[in-house]
Amino acid sequence: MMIELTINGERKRLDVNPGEKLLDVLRREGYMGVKTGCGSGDCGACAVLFNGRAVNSCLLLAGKADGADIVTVEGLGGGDALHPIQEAFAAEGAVQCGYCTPGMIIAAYDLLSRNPNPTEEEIRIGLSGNLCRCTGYVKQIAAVKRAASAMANEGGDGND
Amino acid sequence: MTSTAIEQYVRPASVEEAWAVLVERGAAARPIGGGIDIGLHPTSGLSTLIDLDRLALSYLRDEDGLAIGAGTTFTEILESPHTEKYANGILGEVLQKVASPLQRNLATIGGTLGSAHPWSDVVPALLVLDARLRVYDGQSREISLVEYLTARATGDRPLIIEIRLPVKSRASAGAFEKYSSTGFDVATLNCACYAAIDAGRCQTIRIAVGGTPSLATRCLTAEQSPIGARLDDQMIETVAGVVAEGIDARDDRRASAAYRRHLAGVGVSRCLKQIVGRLETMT
Amino acid sequence: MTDPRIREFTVVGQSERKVDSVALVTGKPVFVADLQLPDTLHVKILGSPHAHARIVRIDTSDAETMAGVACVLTHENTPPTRHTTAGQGFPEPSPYDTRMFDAKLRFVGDRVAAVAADSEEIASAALKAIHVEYEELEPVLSIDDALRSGAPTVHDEEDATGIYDAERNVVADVDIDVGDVAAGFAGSDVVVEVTCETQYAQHTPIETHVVYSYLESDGRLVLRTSTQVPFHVRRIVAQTLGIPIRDIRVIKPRIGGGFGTKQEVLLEDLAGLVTLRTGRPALLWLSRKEEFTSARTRHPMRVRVKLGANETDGILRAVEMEAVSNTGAYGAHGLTVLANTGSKTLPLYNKADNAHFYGQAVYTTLPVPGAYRGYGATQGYFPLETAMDELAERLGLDPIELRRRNHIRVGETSPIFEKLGEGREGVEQTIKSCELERCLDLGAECIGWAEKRGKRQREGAWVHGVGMSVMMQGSGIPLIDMGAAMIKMNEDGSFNLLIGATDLGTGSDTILAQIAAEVLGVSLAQMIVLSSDTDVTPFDVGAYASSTTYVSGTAVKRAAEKVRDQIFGVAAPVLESAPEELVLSDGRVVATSGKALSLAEVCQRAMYESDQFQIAATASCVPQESPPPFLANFAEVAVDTDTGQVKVLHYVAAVDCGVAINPMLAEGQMEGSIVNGIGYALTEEMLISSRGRVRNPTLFDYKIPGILDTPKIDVLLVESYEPTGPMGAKSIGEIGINGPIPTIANAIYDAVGVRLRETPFTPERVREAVRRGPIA
Repeated sequence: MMIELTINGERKRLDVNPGEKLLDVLRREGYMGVKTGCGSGDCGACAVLFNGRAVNSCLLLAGKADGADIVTVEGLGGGDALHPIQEAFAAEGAVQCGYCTPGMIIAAYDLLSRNPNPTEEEIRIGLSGNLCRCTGYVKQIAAVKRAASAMANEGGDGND
Repeated sequence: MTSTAIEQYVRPASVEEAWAVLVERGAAARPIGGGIDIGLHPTSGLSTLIDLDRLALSYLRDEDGLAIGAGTTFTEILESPHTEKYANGILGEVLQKVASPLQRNLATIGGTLGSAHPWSDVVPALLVLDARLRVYDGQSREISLVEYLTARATGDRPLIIEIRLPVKSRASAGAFEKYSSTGFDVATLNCACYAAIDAGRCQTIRIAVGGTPSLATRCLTAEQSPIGARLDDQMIETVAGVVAEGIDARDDRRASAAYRRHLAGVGVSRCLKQIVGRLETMT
Repeated sequence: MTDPRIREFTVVGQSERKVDSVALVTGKPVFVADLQLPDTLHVKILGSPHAHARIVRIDTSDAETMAGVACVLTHENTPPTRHTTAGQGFPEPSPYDTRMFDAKLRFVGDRVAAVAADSEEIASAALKAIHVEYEELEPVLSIDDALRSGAPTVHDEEDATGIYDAERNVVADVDIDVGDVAAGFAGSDVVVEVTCETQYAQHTPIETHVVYSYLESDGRLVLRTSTQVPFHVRRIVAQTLGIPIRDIRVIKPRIGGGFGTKQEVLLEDLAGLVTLRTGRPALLWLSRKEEFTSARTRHPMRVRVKLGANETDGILRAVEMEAVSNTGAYGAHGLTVLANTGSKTLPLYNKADNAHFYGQAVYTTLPVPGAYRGYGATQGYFPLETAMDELAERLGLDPIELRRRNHIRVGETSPIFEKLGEGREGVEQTIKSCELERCLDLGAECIGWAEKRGKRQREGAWVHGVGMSVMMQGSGIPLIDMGAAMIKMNEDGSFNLLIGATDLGTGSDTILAQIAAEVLGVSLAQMIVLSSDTDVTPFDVGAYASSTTYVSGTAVKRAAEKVRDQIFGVAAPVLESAPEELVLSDGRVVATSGKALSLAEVCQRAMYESDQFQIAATASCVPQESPPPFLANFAEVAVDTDTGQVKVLHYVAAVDCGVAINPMLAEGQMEGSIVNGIGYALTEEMLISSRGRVRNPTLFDYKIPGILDTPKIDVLLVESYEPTGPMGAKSIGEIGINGPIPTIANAIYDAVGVRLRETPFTPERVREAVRRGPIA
């Protein structure tokens, strides 16, 4: 079936299988920032923004994405500039192997867009669907705090 | 993992249209909310998906209690001011513990009832709140959640349109306990309780235990003993004991039947103590 | 008081950002499967449904004739070469007991056949069209099953080599003695004996195993693979397929975690053969379920520790450790993990004049354990550090004090170093750096040991307790591991650093570049790192045994020093100075006179102007010893006495890794390994059915810690100066994961008075123990 959607601001018309997952569609279309970790919604590595909300793209049926606005990690930041969340992850050492990182950043983006000044507990809840085996999550919590602070100072969401 | 067995993806504009497709395709069609379960557990013979997201079923309304459209996501429920106000926010307390925020952004309350997973946290919570469902199966009618689950178990599946939660008295409160391995996990066992207390005595009480590993059911025997009595520690332990003995507990990968029985007693005891505590602070 | 030999560095010691962090946070296509080549074949594996069976007949004709199927592989049409999948140095100390495809199957998920097709769907459909007739054999489902007389022989093939006693299912047998333990125990006032059992657990890297193979334009085979050991992959694939090493190129791009499971040649032979036979690129990856059933796991072990000590001074007189290890269907890493269980634990308590380590690794028809961070030490420290806790109580000593009296110190040695290495004799060594005393002081203060120990503070159903443990590990495998580095200079004053060393996300590219930058007097930005490409980078054993900083780092330092000397040679006549009187500083060569040349000027001269030559050097390092990092762990837990749930509230790890080349990355290693260890201690368990099948091969049912499950973690880097290490560094990659099990077990004892001997400490197990045992 044909679906029409926006991916990272670009309008796209794609031929998809009705039952396939948006994860597979996105990777087939070259959005390699969206990762395959489990295929069952348990690890969060595949998270994308779906109409502004972070979801597991391995659980999102391609048919459901018709008419939707999708943002992947490649769509954050502008040109050469890193989004404050990306910058914070890099600066705090919250990136080790980096495989869970895009999903984490998307989840953090969703959290901060609705709760610009989260407590540590709220940060933990916001990232609770993203598994990481490398970092122990310590520096990711620090990174989200740092991003929240940077975005508050910028007075925007960083996407200028 | 591509599922090429699905050939059609339809998005009807009305409930009647959705039902017509279901009737026409029979077992080859399934209605979906967030579509999470179809992705995870595709059934063989399924070729048509009926996405209900164009039916404008995403809402919460103050209407003789709380009315929630079947297409409302868990996140939408959690963020709604209605949720905090209804029954002292017990629904939000429960939904916060379900799955992950990524899944809560996609899962719908109608969809989760349609799936009725045995570990469901939503089912015991809605059972103790005396939830009713407005359903459609050629005609629109209202049934209790229990009726829906019973019918569903026999393969009879009307479309869920709305969840209706009745008005709760101010002198009532609920509590929910979920035992799991990690924080992002389904329940090894869950308990939901709701009670109304007047002049220190228990007027109504609802208890549901799930993940036993079966789907939650009300503990009707246990609900008898405290009626008219004080919900003191001794009564709570008695009730908890009746619950523990009465649940259909079995061994599985997650836990033994004996441990589940024990957890059920602990869970109900803790829920009831929490309810008493909440009501004390409210007066 | 910091060691005066720890210098003020410019780049080393800074928490520099990883050189790949921008690519990773922006989602650049830098992982194996992010490549998209036209005509790629998708490979899928048919796994055995039986734990133990022979293939009587296999008919692939239907699969072969399916449209879109390019090739079907079975034991009938692939090389029969027995090899090991273990990515270890040659000759590997693991048996050659594995064939690409075997007519005998030894675990559920073992390779039966593989299909390469135009799409995954076609490949999956083709697998279903392969008809196999199996003769089921009696499975071997436990260590006791394996050792029982009359047990089925898992490896009865004629051509396997390196198995200690195949008929009795014993892969490896180790027995080393120091002094006379029997006499030692007889002469001890107090004897404590504990036996612990650890479970099947898995690394669960978020990126499963994956390889992308293709032919280069000159017809050579390229394996772009998620591996920790590119050079071992090259050699073992060459051996398995019977092709020359020179015809293979192995490239490791960014990979999504390893933790030991990628120190293994699991998929590359298969994808490589598909490409060689079809001429087409081939992508082969394990689904998460296959990762659980058919990749690698931790070795489940039963380990008994016996300690004997004097009441008068609390000094150990005898230490005995007996380990039986389940090495699953294939013997990769069986001997070495077994040996490591003793070699990385017993030397810690060198005051005991008498020691005995013995054990066996046995075959079962179960999922295959392999290398996993900690590598046997993790399993050994459970009984050792809980026995020490018990011994302290019996002696009336604080557990910390008992450690202080018994642990190895600077200037000391242990006979175990020489007697027990990794798989064979070890190497004698004397400790030259050890800050364990300060680790104990700082850690105890951070957790609030004195205030909390023995207090059993209650909060409703929750009881609090604190526990501690100490450990050591190693830094590389002495006399066996080798790492090399090559540095060449560019005319703008930058350098290419070519290293075989393998960055799994650990940040080795970054810290090795920091070491080179420090020697060359430049900022990190001037180093361009290329790693883990067997055509371009010099040899390195790869990322295991905590070797990268100590071994590869030394090679990098030596190469940088050689390059520095060449730079001085070019600059000296220009600056009218003797080369010995020059220094590198801030991108310039500076003479004592104050005259200076920029590095760019030096290289331009060498490249274009005068006596031209490429400023470049290669250097290697074979370590002569394996200086241990040391760690003191402290944990505060709360135990819910009604449900048995254990919550870790606060975890403190005070670690001496020598000089920390990059403190932020060193902390990251500790934080990650601690949380992994907490999962191993509390929630992770692969459940095996009575037919040998993994019952929970999903992240839904096998629970690893998420962000909701972690305690407050304090990593205290307590620096020492290791004279044999680059800039004084040792290692930090593995040691952290050994802490949580014994520390949490000891904390649970402090809280509720029960000693747990079986991991994981699930709520059901804890509650049962509390119900039966004391809590007071």
